[in-house]
Amino acid sequence: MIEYKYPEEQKYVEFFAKELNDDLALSILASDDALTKETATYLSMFFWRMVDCSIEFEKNKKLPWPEGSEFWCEKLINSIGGYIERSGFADEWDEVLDSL
Amino acid sequence: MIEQFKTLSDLQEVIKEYEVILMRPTVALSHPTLYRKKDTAQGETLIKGIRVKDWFLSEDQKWVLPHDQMGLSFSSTYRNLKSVYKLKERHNPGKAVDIYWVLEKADIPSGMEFVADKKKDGHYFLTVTEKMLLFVLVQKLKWVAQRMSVIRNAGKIL
Repeated sequence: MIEYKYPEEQKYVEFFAKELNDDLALSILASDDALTKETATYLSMFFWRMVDCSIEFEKNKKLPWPEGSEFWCEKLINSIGGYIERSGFADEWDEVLDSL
Repeated sequence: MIEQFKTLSDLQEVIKEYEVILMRPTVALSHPTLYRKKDTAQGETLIKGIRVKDWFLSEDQKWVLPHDQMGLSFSSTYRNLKSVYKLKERHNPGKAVDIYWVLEKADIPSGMEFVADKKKDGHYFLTVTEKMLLFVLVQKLKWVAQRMSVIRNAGKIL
């Protein structure tokens, strides 16, 4: 499971998984199962889709938190990226990053 | 040491030579250790350039309290830097992003310390180790900023 530093992080990530209609991301985020190569790659891709979605969202609507997309994505890159790396999939995180 | 590195290889040589180098991607013309109102969201609480949720503050927000996992974020590895740099670029399209850096063993102000994030490899916090008034922290962060070196528009070399 991802260990979030701020409770808002989990709400933020779930909010944008729903905005993206991404049931698979929601299920990976909620699961106690260890990541696999495939789910780690998917979660890495989801992170960057969430970043783009939240940037677009913020242009037109107010986020449900006082802090902005940049603040929360900075926190989440450590929580989600750290979780993926600690699970042994740092290369998968990098591959997705390099493909952007 | 104030030096302008032109290539990533130059920077990597420094990383090899010194134990830990701490880097912070910063939008050009922004401050490397403090935030301007226009760098943050409309509702975000900023006091004298400090994002209040980055630090462990007293209830009246006048004091900064010691916390070894809260403070200003830095990257210590190329891998971490690359991710954070990409994030900064995404949020600031069309703007140049510089990398400010300082050595961990540099002479940072008393009451401050770089501490590795326990949950994210390559991520460090510049923390406070003793209770201090917020305006004192601001002064210390300005002091650190004055001693940081910079790689301008670093996207070309990452």
